[in-house]
Amino acid sequence: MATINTQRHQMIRQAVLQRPGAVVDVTIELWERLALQLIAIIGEGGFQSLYARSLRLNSVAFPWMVLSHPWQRTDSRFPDLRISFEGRDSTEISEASIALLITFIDILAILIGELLTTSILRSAWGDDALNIAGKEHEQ
Amino acid sequence: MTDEIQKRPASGKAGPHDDETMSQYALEAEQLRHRVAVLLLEVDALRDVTKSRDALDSLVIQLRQANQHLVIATMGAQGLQAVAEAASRRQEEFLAMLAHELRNPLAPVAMATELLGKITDAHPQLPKLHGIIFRQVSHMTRLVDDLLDASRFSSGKIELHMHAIRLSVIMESAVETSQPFLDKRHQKLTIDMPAYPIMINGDMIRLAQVFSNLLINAAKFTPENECIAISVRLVENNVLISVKDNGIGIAAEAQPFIFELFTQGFHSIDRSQGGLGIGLSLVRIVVQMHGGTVIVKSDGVGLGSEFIVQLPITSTIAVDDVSAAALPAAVKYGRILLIEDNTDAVQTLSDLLELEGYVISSALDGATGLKMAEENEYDFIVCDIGLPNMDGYEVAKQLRLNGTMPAPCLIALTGYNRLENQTRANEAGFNHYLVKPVAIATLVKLISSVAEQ
Repeated sequence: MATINTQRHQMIRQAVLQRPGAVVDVTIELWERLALQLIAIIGEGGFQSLYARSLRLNSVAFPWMVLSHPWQRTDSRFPDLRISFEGRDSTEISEASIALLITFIDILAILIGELLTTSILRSAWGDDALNIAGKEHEQ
Repeated sequence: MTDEIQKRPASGKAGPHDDETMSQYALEAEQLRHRVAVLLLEVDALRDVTKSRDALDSLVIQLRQANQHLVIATMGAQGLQAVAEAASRRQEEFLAMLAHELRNPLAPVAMATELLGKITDAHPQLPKLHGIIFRQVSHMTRLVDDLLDASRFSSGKIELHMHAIRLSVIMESAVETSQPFLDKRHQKLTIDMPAYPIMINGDMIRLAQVFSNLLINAAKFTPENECIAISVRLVENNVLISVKDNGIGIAAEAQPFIFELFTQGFHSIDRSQGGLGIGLSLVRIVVQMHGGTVIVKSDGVGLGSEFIVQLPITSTIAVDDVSAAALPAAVKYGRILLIEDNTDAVQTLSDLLELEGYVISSALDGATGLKMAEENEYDFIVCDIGLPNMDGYEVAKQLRLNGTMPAPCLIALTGYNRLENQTRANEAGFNHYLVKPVAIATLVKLISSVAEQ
């Protein structure tokens, strides 16, 4: 189990840092794609609840990363995240982004199991993200 | 086809060609009917598929809604759990602080009470007043100590000092602590335990606390002039110690929670037998830390209670075995010097090795041990490493340097279990290295095997 978690965390790190110059855009894109897949299974409310919990769990390490107003049906589900990242150091953004995704996906894996989580991540982010991480982990 | 039908002759009489045409029409009509029937069937099938798809879509929506509710409920529960845990942590911190704060003023009050006890002849009322203050301060000290223990246990800050101990020694200590409570209520204590030593690997003070808590509880909730019984029996590699009373008992609904912190299963009307509900919680925690269990049995209110503690044993020595086999070996095996600063450990080891037939001497520090080893002849020296004024390494080193003859067999018996400690012990001159807690059987086997060589 620890190995699976480590691999998944590594994969998330790789996915967030795939374009180091555009971590904010990449992060939002990853969240959008994940939301699209996941909302079909756990609904908008389920996704929001999980996302809010993940933010809360990261609030000690990254108190500036907040969900300040209720989710609205706009072009992006994550305007708050983008606003939170504004003016922050790129390393801090990367670490916060990775931590938030790891928390969210770890909880998801506990709720729905490893297999389904991996399947959703593949559908959301494509095989490449997972395979790159897997290869790097093997090296 | 319609055109062909329209082209049929208008006359009523049918010719041979007409018959042929008619049968052709009939055939085509039949084919058409068949085709229509097939199409109708296909339409029905498609309708069924559509229905199933709608049903499936509806099911997916329902599932999504169910998942949504489950996720929201789970996240809500996690949040509530986190809040409750944070509150519990704050409560524990508060209790720890409260216990410390209460203890500080209590110490001088206790000392003043002690001094007051020495001048009770200064005023005729003083002995009575001193008695009241002394009793209440003692009671308060015990409550504060319980509170401190509770906060230590719940924060995991408790540390056990494990040694091989005789159960009888533990029970003696527990009885000594609880006897005043029994005496006060004119209660009689009976103890039924095997005559042979039962060894437990445990923390002497904490285990004695377990049984004194149980005895004090029994005394509190049993009527005056009644009897409380301790019985001990062995079941495989465990010892079962029962503390039974015929007191006020415990209601069935309270029994599952009786070991919870701050829970009390029995309430006297005036709370004269009160307390904080910590004692039994400590009992369970300490017993569990020793790899044991504790259960409560009571047929209900007014029907008495029985607490049964189960603890793993390290060894037993049957009296018959000792008298038949071990005593004659005394002549054969010879003398052992124990160098150990823990008096309880020295006492226990001495008793057990004497039962095995050895002649035992002991020293409580390194320098005394070395002096005794230089001035007397020993076949074995069992030496702790962490010792006052001279550690075990130095004792062994000095003995080997001095070339004490005949050279005794040096056995290190220590709590240090790292490889570098063992290497250092070997370099210092120890022949064998045993890590505490060590079963007495292991030590005896080692000594016997060396003696037979």
